Amino acid sequence: MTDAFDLGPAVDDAANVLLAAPGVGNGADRLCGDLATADGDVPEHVVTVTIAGSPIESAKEWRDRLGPGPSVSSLAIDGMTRSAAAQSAPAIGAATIEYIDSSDTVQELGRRIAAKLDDERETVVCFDSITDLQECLGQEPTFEFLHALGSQVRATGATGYYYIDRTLHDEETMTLYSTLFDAVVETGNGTPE
Amino acid sequence: MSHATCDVTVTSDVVLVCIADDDLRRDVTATLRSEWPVRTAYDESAARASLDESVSVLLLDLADDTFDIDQTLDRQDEDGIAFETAALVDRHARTDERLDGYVHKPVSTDELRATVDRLHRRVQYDRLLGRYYSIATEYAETASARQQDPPELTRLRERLFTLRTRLDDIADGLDDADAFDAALGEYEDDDVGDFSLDDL
Repeated sequence: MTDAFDLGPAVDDAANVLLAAPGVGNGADRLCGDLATADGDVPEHVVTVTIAGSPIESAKEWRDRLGPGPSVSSLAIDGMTRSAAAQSAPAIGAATIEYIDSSDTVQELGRRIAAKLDDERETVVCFDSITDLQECLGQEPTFEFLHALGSQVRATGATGYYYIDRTLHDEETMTLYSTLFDAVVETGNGTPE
Repeated sequence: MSHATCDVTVTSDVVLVCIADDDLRRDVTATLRSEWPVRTAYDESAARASLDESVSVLLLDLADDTFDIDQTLDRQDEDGIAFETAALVDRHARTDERLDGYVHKPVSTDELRATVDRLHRRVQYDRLLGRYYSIATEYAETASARQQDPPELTRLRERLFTLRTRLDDIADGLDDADAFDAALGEYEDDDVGDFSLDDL
């Protein structure tokens, strides 16, 4: 766990942050957590969204970092990861794990994420990942989805961190997505800089 | 000869009011006209003739069989015209999930205005988001080009900033369901509207 990043006012005040890093495997939540807790604050409510990964691993990462206090709510796409995750489910304490059916629309995914936002509590959203969503939907729908999600995150006073694997996108694509965010954090080795 | 009355022919954001009953059509039109350009149609052929790219919201009376909602909605696919649809319905009528909004009879002025305003916001958000994507794409191409063009980059950056402010304002007025529907509604019938994890 990292605990001493000076991210500057641009990131501190940002509602939506693009988190660009080389492939981190299951490490997106760790990076989001590093950023979300960089100023020493601990969120009261964490929403994790994983398109291709395991929501259980995601919830466990946040539990290990934050302890039992904050609520953790993980949303994933029902698919190949579910059976494997269920077989090796670690003890993660109180966390809500939800799956959205893979035949559902992307609009439904958006509504389900928005339903988990809580404007009464300090909320962090960790989205893993733009790369996987673009793989599913293509670039323009992904771009439009991210703006709609970002507007909901901002409206509820939450902070969203959106991971993108920068090794899988060219510079043009990285620049395109960066226009949606209030701040961009680039990391070279899986550690926010 | 078309029976459509085209009050505004060059303005976008038109509301097309398709109501067969003369009194109701007149009342609805009077309510809406103070805020939006309005066209009216009292039968199906007039509605079809009047429905073009200027129309943002189509308000349809489904209480009788004068208007065919299926044919109207087909225009979105056939002609690629993007508009939102609202129906005037009796209070306990069954809803049709293909429609974007409802106004119950007897028509309340507040409900009518609120519904049309909400649908206008959806249309504006969809159109502006498409434009923002287009300019962001141009900006990304220019920024990544081998030969740099600083004045052009500055111009595009300023356009993005202005558009982003307007876009965020409109999005702030939409609830989550409307925001995601409006942003991604055009993909509903395409493959990309559904997740396909087989692609991963």
